[in-house]
This record gives sequence, structure tokens and C-alpha cells, in this order.
Amino acid sequence: MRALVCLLLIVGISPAQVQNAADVNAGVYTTVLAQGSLAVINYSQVTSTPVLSATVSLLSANSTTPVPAQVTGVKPFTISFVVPVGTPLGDAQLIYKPGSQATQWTRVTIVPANLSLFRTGSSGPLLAQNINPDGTPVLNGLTSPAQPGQPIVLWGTGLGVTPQSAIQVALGGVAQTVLYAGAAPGQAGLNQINFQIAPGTPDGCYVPLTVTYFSQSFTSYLSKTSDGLPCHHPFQLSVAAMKLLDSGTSIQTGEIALTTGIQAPSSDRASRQESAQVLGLYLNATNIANYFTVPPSAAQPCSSLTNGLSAGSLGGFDPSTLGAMKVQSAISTLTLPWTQPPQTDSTLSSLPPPAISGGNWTWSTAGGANLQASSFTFVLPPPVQIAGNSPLTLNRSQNQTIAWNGSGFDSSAMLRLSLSGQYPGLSVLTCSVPAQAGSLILPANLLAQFNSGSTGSLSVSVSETGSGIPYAQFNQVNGSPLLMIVSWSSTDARPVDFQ
Amino acid sequence: MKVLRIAILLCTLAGISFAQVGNVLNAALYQPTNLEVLNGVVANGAVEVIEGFGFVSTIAPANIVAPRMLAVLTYAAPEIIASLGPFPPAASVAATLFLRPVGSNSVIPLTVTNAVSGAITFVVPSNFPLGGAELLYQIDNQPTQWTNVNVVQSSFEFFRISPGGPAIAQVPGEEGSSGDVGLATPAQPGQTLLLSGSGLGNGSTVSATIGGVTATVTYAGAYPALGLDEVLLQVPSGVPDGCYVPVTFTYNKTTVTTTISKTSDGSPCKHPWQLSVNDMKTLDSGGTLASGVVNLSSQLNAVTSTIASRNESANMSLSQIGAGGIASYFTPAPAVSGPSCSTVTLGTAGSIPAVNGIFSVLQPIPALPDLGSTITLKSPTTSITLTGGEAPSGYYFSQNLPQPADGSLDNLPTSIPSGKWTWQSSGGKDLPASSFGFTLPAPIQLNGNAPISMRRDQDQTITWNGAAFDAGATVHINLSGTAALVTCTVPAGTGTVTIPAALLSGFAANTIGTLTVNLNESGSFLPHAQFQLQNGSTLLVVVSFSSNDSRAAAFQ
Repeated sequence: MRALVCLLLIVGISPAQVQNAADVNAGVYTTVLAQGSLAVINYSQVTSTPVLSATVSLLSANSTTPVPAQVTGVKPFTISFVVPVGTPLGDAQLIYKPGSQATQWTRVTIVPANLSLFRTGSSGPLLAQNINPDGTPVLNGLTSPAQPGQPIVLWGTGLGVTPQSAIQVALGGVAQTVLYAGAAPGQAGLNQINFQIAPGTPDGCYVPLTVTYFSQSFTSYLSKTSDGLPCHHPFQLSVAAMKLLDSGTSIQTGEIALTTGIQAPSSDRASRQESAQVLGLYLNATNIANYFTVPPSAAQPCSSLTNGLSAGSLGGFDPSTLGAMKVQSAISTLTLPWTQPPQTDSTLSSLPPPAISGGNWTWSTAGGANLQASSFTFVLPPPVQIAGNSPLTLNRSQNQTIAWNGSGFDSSAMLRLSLSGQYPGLSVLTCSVPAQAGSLILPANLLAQFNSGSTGSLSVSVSETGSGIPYAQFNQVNGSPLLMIVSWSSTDARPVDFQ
Repeated sequence: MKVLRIAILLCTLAGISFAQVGNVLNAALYQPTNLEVLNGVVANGAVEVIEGFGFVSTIAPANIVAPRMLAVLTYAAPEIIASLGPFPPAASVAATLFLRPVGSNSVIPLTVTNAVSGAITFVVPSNFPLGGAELLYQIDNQPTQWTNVNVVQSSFEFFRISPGGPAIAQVPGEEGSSGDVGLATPAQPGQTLLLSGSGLGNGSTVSATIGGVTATVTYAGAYPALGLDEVLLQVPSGVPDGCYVPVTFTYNKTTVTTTISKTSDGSPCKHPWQLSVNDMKTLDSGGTLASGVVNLSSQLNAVTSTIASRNESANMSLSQIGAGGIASYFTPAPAVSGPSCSTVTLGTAGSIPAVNGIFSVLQPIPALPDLGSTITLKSPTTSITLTGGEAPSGYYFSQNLPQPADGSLDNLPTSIPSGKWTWQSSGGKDLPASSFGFTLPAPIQLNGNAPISMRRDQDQTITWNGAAFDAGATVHINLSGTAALVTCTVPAGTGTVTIPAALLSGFAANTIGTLTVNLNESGSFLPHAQFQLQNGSTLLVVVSFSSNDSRAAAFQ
């Protein structure tokens, strides 16, 4: 503690973090700001005196005179401001002075446009408005979808001086009629994109939305039905549960996490490592939408990866309140909240059969404080297994094909491959493909980054996505909904020799 | 701490699917634990909760080994909980290790010399082929895991008394006896020094200097014990005396630096902080002294010439300091002999910490001396009052330094001016009211305005108020941009450094960045004083002064 206090005093004010104002709820930070956009500075407050005012200016790379920016809001630790439209493009020092504190600065890059739409999570739900015939706006949601012909208002910032003619909106892959796109009247720094739901737009709780401007695009989703009634949720949530989500309330969710993995340091030293556990989570509209809208639900070509971690915060509850639980197949019974079957070495060709095998399963509880005796059935795919022996040999000068037991998977199962090299290269290559493809090709141009004569590790991981995730809904003793979902994943990891 | 611990556990679980859970490093670099006090301030001598987990604190390339090297595999281990200190003993485990060279389907069994939960010490076979390899390890009949390693010709390090500190050195005597080299028992001219290490591999071209004088390497190679190397150096004549005489050992084309204590007659060295022989004996035997480090910091920030500020702080921290801690103040700074700028490749540096068991232990904390309620730092124009350090806190801090405020670059007053200062304690039960005088240099300040314009096609010279600094002051320069970082280290007294155009060209035209110069005093130039506490032990007080100047830069 003493060291921490000392460190804080020595370090003083930490550098500010900057956000596009539309990304605040999503927790996304940036150093790229569009001309005319509304942005937010998150700074450290070094005095106990309340900060009631602030000044912000931008000093471009080839200037010695900062350009003042309009400050639109000052709160503890945050300053909202509008990037001056005339700020030169390129690097600039963002100079800010909170209250009577000393002026600080941080580096940003000014671009013509960098659109982001206001939303509550990383990709959505959007804070979009459905406009009723009488002109009243209703927030788009699971129980208040958009309807055909209805005008929709999207709020964002970062369009810059992009003309309306350069902006296209597609919903569910169907081009929409843009009614207006540009500055929001009377709202400094804000943009408004109004469009009308086109005929043929598909229904859904999470209909993909793409706003394209010049060569850039922003993607999210909206809820849309043909009759304006609540959407049919892919987890078959009740209207009451969806209303809770629309109102910002979280619903209790039991996540049954089943993992089965092969680790094969060599063909004669391989093991199967498995676990089953249940987690009690509170999931909000964003958390549930993420099951259907964020990668890896889409295939991604192989690419080099910059190492990074994503973080999320989910509240939890004690799953024991749901009673004594187990998951059971024809050959295995795994007790919850936690089971780890025995793990031992064997040969790769004669691994013990998986405890978490493909086929029919049943989750059941004897009943507890919050839930009566209940059960539901679901189907799991077989564990993934890479074809061939261990270690794998990869020729860096040619495309290399990695194959696995693809026929066992449905169309919702996605496979993510990671290929890592050793220090000091720290090269990482990742790809995502539908697991049922059964193979993928590692391009020679990406393999070339690994050192010849070095070793690495290759791992494939399969998980179900979107509507392929097993689920069930129950009513708890107190009447509140309980969503149960099965989070299954299967891996196979092996050493690699690069030639 | 709890959050970090949970994060590590999650990483450990995540690692199951990717197998890369182990890290390997030279045994000479392995530091077994890093401890963290959980509950902050408690009473002197009370029992406090300390948690820790194995952590490789040395900045070192991970997973690089050499033939014959004694190496340590660290891996995620189960939590160990001890209800009462001392530090929990590591549980023995059964470990079987193999190495598999790239391109081979056969594995080579390894000799394990020590196996405790979280850390397995082993020897790399002498005939193992160079290049990529996999280290396979099986612990207590659990499934076999693996980690990638790179086998190089040599990767040497000395065993030291602390990370980066003096090497553990001995003077071999007659009939196999040996004496430890220490502050109170320095090496002498003509003696042969025995330094232990690991990682020389199979034959290396070696050379050495002691105090800048070439030293004969009478032997450098395998030691009778598995995996260890022995380096025998003859102390040449003409080496200046000192407690921290620089030693360089070059193998192949790589140089390792350390220090030793050396005097002409073998009598205790004259410590640059005037430590007594008894105190040096205490340090040599692994003991500690009470210490109070006064930290004075003056930071200048300037985005333009009219928008600048100075942020200053003062505090004093009481603790215990050992031989390694004191030696760290005298470790030779790299490249202080002349201007030296280099480009840092972004995103590839650093150590790879390894989880090595998690520990919870209850342990008595050492009592800190009671110096009284107030420490005062006075100059002719300034008086800084430090409070809050009464036992058991030990941390005095200032509340009367002004908050940073905007001003113009040519008129930024400082509360920590250069010149004569006095340290005064108000007096407590362990030390009566006491004082000593010391001198501070001026805060560093770059010449010129802000932002600083940097041409990328020509060498650029940066200058500062160099005349204000003595020979113990070093300046570190950081020039950072969007995708590049250039660093330089020079003696502060030179007052100037030239950044070569070849390095500046790594920045993009018409972009911006930040230029920061950091000044630090080191070694014998740090103001210091000793006081005898009521119990007869020594309190060492050191004044650590740092200052910097940070300005916006524009690349043309």
C-alpha cells in the first residue's frame, strides 16, 4: 500500500484516455477523432476541489497556435467537447485544462470521418428510435421492434462533412432508404441518420445493420418484425423476459460450461482434459445479444494477431440456489457446480473416450431455494480432433492444410485456430472457419513470419454460436425468469516444428 | 491483489487449452517469490497477511537456454497456504522432463536437480542441438505438458546477491577453503576470484575487465556441479579500490556486468555512504539496516511556451535495506561514458512473468524506527513539511507543496530549488531530534520553446542546463512518436545530446510526439547521512532527487 501511494504521488497525473462520445457506454477508447465530432476526455483529477469548467484546444503538428474547441459538458473525470471542423487532418496534441488544474495534453489523430453510433454495448443494442405515425419516438428493442415502412432514427457522431449521398444503410442485407444523414439540429457534434424500413427486410431480434460512408462502415443490429409485435428470440425468451432486458434489467442465467480438450506434446504422450461447471450470471441485453452478434460467429481469414485481451463484467449469483445439478449422457454423469474427470497420459491414437462426448445430454436439478426440480435435454457435437500425429510439421514455404473431424459439426459450430511461435518472434496467427468445413489452409505468406528450425504450438478450438447454443428457460420460485444455456467448447493443442 | 490473483487463476485455466503454461529461464536469474502486503498498515511487530506468487522479476529473455545450462521451469502450481510465517516451504513434487529438438520424434530425458511445486530446476544436456525445441514436463503423474524453448550456443548470467546486483564472489584459499568477497572482505590485487554462473555453453571466447583494467580469465567453463559454470578472474594491479568496482565479463560477443568489492590490502572498503565496518559486516552476512529514502521530484510539462506547469512532490519512506538494495544505487548505468541513442522496438520488450504457486502467509513485520511526527526539509527559500510517517506507517509525505498550475515556460517557479538544504527530524522514541545538510542540483530544463520542432532528415541536438549537474547525474532521453521510440543516456553535465537523423527517420513526417528528459542522481553523489538509533543500530538516510522536462514535439 505504501509503495502504491508513493508510486501514485511520483507518477502524478496519468495520461488521459479519449473516446468518441458514442462509444462511452461501450467502453471503447480511441486516438482517432473526426472533424466536427463529439468526443470525451477521461482525465485524472488531482485535487479535491470540484471541477466545474474546462478548456480544450487542439494543436496540429505544424502549428504553434492551439485551436480552441467547444466544451459541451464537464463532469468529474470527464470533459465532453466538439472537435473543431477546421482542425487540420493528421496528428494533433489534444490540450485540456480541467478547472484550475494544470494543463495536460495527449496525442490524437484527426480524420475526416470516423462514425460511431450511440449504443449500450460493444456492438449494440443501438439507442435507435422507431418513429410512430404520430411522430412519437419509441426506443428500438426486443419488445418494440421496427416495422416495415417505419422511419428509424440512428444517433451518432463522427460523420464529419460526409454528404448524405455518400451514406448507405443496409438492414438484414436489404438496402434502406436514407431520409436524412448529417448534423443533428441543435445538437453540437451529434449526427442523425434517418431511414425508412424497406420492404423485404427480414425479421429478427438481431437484424444486422450496416451504415456505409465512403469506404468505411459501422455495423450493429436492430430488432425488426413485420407486425411490430415482440421479436421471436433465438433463446425463446418470453415477452416478459425481453421487457426486462429492454428496460435495462439483467436476467438470471445459468451457464453450463462444458470443456473437452486434447493436449498432445507427442504422439505417445497425449491426454484428454475435461471439465464441467455451472456459473450463475446476470446477463443484460448486451450480454445476451453478444451470443448472436459478435465474432467468432463469423468466419475470419487467417491473419497475424496483435496480442490483446478483451474484458467484460458480468454480475453473478450463487448457482447452488438452483439445487443439486448434474448433466448426464448415456455414458457419463457429471455433477455440478464443478467436475473434472481424471486426466492421464496415453497415446494419441488410443486416448480414453471423452466424458463429454457427442450425443444427447440432459441437465437436471433436484430443485433448490429458487427453482423447483427441472430438466432439459440438449445435443452436443463430438470433441474436435486434428488429423495426424504430434508434433505437427509445417513447411513455411508452402500453403499448409490443417484437417480435423469436420463432419461431426453443425453449421453453428465455429472453429478458431491459433498458431504461435516462440520468443522472440511472438508471432501469432489466427483463423476462424465453420467447424464442419473440416480443414483450412494456412497461407505460406503468413507462415513465413515464423523462424525456420523453430518450434511453436497450434491449437484449434470449436464452440457453438448463436442459435446453435443449447438453451432453456424456466420460471423461478419468485416468478422471475431463469435462462439456462450450454457453453460447450472443445480444443486440440499440439507442438509444431517449422521447416 | 485479489483481482490480480483471480486474473492469474483465470489465465491459468485458459492456459489449459493452449498448453503454453510454463516458462524457462537461466537458474541464475530466477527469483523465487514476489510478496505483497495485503492489509497495509499494521502495528509494529504485529502479524500481517502477506500474499505472493512466484514471479520472474528480472527483465530477461524467457525460454532461451544453452547446452549445459542450469535452468528453471516455472509453471502454474496449486495454492500453498501457511497459517503462520515464515515463508511457506515449497512442496516437493515428482517431475519428469524431456527435451525434443525440432525435426525429431524422439525425446531426450533431462536431469532434474530440484523439484518443488511451481519450479523445476534441470540441466540442459551438453550435446543438445541448437535451435527450436520443446520442453515436455510431467508433474506428479499429471498429463504431460510442454513449452517451446530456443537452444542457443550460450546465454550466461552470474548468480548475484540480488537482481542486477553484485555477483556472489569467493576467493579460493589453500586446501579447498574459500572466503566470501564482501564489503568487509574485499578482493585484493593478485587474488583469484571465483564467480559462479550458468549458460556458457560448450566453449566460449571470454575476456574480462575489473575496474576498467583487463583481468586474466584463468578459467571459464563447467563447474563440477551439474549445470553450473565457474569463472576464475585474477584481480590485476592498478584496479582502483572501491566497494562497487565494475566487472565486465564478455563471452563470445555478449557482455555481462557486475560489481565486486576490492581494496589494495584486503581491509574493508571505504563505503561511499561511509557505512561502518560493523554495518558492512551486517550487510555481508545477509542482514539489513534501517533506511529512510527521501524522494524529491520536480516535473516540468510544456505543450506550448505559454502553457506549461511544474509538478513537484516530496516524501520519505522508512524501510529495511540489505546489501543488494544498497548496491543497486551503485550499479553502473549503461552507456554513461558518452552519448548513446538507440531505437526501442515497440511491443517486443520485457520479461514474461511466470505463475509459480500462490502463497498466503502470516508473518511478523519488521519494526520501523520511530523518528517522530515531522520531517522538515529546509532551504533558504523553502520549507517542506513531511508528516504521517509515525509508526507503524513509515511513510512521510508533504501537504504543503503547491499544486501544479499553468504558467509560461520561461517563468515556472520551483519549490525544490538548487542549493543548500537541511533535513530535520522532530524526534521520536528511536531517534532524538536530528538533522543533516545536503545540496541539491537545479531541476533539469531543456533549452528552447515548446513544442519542439524535430527535423527527421538531419541530426538534431537537444540541450539543457547541464552546468548545474555533477558527475553522478545521468540524463535519460525518451523521444516517442506514434510508432517509434528513441532513447538516449548521457551524463547530465554534458548538457547536450545529438539524436542521429538515422534514428529520427523512424518517425513519420508531420506527426507529433513527446520529448522527455529525466535526470537522476546515483551512487556516491546521492546525499546521505547516518544516525545511531536508541538501540545502537544504524539508520541510513538517502536523498533521491529526480527531475524531468517533458515537451510536445513535432516531426518535420
